[in-house]
Amino acid sequence: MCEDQDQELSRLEKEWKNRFDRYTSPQPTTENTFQLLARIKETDEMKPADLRAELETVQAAEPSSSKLANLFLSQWNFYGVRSWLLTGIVMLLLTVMINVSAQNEMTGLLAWMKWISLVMIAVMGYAFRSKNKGNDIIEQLSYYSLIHQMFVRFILIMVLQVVITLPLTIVILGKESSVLSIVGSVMPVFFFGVTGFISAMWLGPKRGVMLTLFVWFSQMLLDEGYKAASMFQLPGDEHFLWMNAGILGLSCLLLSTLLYKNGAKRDFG
Amino acid sequence: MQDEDYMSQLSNGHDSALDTLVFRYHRLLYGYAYRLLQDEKLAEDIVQETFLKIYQQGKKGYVPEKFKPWMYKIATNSCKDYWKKASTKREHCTDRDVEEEGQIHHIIDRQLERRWMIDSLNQLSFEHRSVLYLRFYQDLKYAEIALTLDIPINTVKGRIARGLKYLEGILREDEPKGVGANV
Repeated sequence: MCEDQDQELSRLEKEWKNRFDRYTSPQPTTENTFQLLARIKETDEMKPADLRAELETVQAAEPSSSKLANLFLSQWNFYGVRSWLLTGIVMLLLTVMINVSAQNEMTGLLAWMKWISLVMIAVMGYAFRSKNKGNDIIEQLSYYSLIHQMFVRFILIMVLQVVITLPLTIVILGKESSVLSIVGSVMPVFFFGVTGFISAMWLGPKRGVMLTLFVWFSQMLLDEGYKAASMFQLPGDEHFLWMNAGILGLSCLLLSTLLYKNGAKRDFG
Repeated sequence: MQDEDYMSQLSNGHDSALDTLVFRYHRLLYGYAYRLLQDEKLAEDIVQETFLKIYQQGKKGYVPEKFKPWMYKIATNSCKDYWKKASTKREHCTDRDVEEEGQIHHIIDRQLERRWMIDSLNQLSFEHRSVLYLRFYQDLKYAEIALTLDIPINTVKGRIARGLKYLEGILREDEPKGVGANV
């Protein structure tokens, strides 16, 4: 604004000053001011200063069982029931296809173990998929630490996979089903679940899936070329017990690295 | 002591600093909110909301560089929020104003002039009205108005000049039916 305009503005303001004074507004009394002060302090006391802190205080006061239940529920909701239904449908279709095409129960079981463990890797890849902004916010806002949430998600996947696997194994094996054959079919699923989870925790979701897929393909090659070293063993095989014990031991060892990663923060308190 | 010093005290946990700020600005802020909203109850609410925000921000440790423009900014934004929420209510207020106009015949000249001025000011846009109120009733400097409304100083000056010219035009247009017409 140039000097002339500034002078014009000053002139206008002087001219108008008195006319504006005519427009007065009601004025609060001193008593009104005291009442206002009381209301401000009262309202401030009523409002929690930090809603998150307030929520955390409430959650901290809950019993451990309730905290644990809420943690599982939150991850169940995170993963979504539809995803579980889809996994179940894929596993059922796979079972039916193998059941129809297999020459006998044992070759069917072997094929079933291989493909179900691949499904397991896909499920792990989905459950620990790269975070989008929304997931990131949910994880940040959550009362539970990320490692707790991931572990609970892993437990949910494992339990549901095993629950789905058991009846499907019986469908494949029919009269040939036994405790050993069921254990033998569940063990690779468990191993690939653990490998998927632990590698995702250490290397991130994408590299975790890549590594698990690499292990799976190497096992497929071993199964073709050097059967003794393959983890896909049938109950009648020579190395069945040793291999399953080895898989279990290796899975436990991998899981124990999580304790190392998590340090001493293992309790939910 | 400066307003900003009281905010510092508030951030250091001295709640009594709020009392001084409230006593210093209650009337001024109420006048501003009342002129913008034309409703005593609403103005009270806006003033309470503004001081509550000042109190909460102060307790969190926030100390504004310039208190007055910051305070008016909070109040202005609260008024804008109110208008956004209650655009339909404004129509109701206009109807009431029209009803009240019928009673103007019975009030004395000075009140009539005041009413006329209010009506004319209310015909201005919010942009022009807010700068005029901040300048003439709240005695804010151009730089302070610029900070309050987040606009450059030259825009403030331009709005004041244009606002006054528009107001003059409205008053001149209404003159035949204005004070003289109603007496």
